[in-house]
Amino acid sequence: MEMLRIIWDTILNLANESGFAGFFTPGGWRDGVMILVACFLLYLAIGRKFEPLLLLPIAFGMLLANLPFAGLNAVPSTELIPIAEATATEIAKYGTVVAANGEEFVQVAHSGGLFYYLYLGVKLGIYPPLIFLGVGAMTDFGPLIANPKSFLLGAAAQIGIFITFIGAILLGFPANVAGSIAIIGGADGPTAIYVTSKLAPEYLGPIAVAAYSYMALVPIIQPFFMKALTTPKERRVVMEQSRNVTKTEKIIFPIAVTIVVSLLLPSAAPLVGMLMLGNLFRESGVVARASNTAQNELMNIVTIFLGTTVGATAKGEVFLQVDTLLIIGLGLFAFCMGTAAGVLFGKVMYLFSGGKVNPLIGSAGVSAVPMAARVSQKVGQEYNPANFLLMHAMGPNVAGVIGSAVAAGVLISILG
Amino acid sequence: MFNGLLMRILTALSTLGVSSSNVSGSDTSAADVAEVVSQTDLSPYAKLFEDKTMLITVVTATGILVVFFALIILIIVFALFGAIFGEKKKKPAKTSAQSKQAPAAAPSVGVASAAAAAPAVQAGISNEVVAAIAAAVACMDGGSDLVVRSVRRAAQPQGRPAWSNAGIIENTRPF
Repeated sequence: MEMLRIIWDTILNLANESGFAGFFTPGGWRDGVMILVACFLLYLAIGRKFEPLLLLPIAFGMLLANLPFAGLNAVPSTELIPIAEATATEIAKYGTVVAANGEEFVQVAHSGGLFYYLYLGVKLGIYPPLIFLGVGAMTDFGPLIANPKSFLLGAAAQIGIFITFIGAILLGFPANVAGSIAIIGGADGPTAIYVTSKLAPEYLGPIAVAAYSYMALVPIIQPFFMKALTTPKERRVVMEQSRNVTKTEKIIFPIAVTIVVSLLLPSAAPLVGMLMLGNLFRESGVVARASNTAQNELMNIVTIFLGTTVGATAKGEVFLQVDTLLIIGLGLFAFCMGTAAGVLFGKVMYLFSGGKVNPLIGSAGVSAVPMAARVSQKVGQEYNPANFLLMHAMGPNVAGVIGSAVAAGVLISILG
Repeated sequence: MFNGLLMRILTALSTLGVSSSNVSGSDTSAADVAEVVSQTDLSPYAKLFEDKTMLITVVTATGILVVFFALIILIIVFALFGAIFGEKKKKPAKTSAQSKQAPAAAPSVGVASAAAAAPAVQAGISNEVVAAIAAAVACMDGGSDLVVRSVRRAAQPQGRPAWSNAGIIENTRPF
């Protein structure tokens, strides 16, 4: 009988330590809801193919972080146990420490969870610049160099960021959080994560989920604004072929941009500098191995770590708040404003150039490369099947990447 | 939860109609005080955080101006680059490229006469090109039913040569 009771007690202890018991602790229900949210995001990523490369690790990280007692996010800690309460194995393992009042303690060290250590790359601002290194190695800035006026469209689309900032402040968010929400309008995942990790790290979960979900929705959100703000005549404009860009120009471009932007705005240097370094790897032609690694292995590794650890910050207490709904709403607002601002500026350029610039490429100024450029191409072809706007739209698209990095630098400088 | 959401939106809308944040609702002034306490003396921009309207105006204006300024400087730098490094349009090269589009043009053909008269060739198209066209036509019909009567450059649709169009279609097909 004694044996049966001991077995039963052991089973009860295990049951109390199990995750299922965790749901019944105060506030534990949130973990359950977050696990369901994570499963829904996994469906979006796998079933509906919403930016799966990022949304899948984010969703799974969210799932792992909300499993009760799993401790993946545990912070490393030291515990001081009075020697009377310590077990023999602990004393043998950790030795004893004598405090000022003569009492002896055993200093037990608990190491952190897996995601605590991997998350340091986000907290310390390491992963986003490394992703930009890969992005730069994959990007061809030729269309932008051939037509530098595209920079203006890349700048105009970032106006959406600042309009969203106004909205976020009016809705009661403090300045630093408003800045992090506003940068979603830059349509650039690594930039959003970089700014949020510097300004409002506790909101990283909802902002990252919002940023990547909306990037996947670009083809759905943009066409409405593009058609609403342009006339059919403007949409049919066929643009002149761009000039050829020499190898020398393509090599000097990243160096010049780094120097100019970093001198103007040092806080933008990590992002812009790494973007341009990656591009220089690609264009110089003398470091093919580095270029290949940056575009492939490095990008993949960092994306896996970044996605998983960012998802793991989405704990129930932070995510299941009114704030999250507001962030999702503001994120949509940010995208819409960025598209609208870009198209409107495109119309301005159409007027000033005497009808040579198609306003549809203005919406590509949001830095969702190359999705936004493809959307410009598609909408343009609806109105004129012989119109190939893709290369012309790539100019503003990649200028938008630089523009959103500059906007990020401004927000970090003022609000950080 | 949704009551709180509604309150926040209503407060935001009411703040829009007021010029200074001093008159805004009670649940936001606590946040303002907290901001003042946390931001004072910690940053050179501390004065900004005391008043919401000032914060909004300054950050938005500064942000837009700085972004445009930085990118306009880049435009100037790269416009200069274009002037220094850019390729000059080579006129002779262009016409020879255009004459190669003659294959896309339909040469006027006539029903066979065994003795072909020399075709009327538009100025600027070299003999090799005419020979290439004739050879291509000959391959097409297998016999000698077709005769090349004249070769002229095709009208350029919308300024882009046919080969360019073909290349662009080829490259953008994955999209």
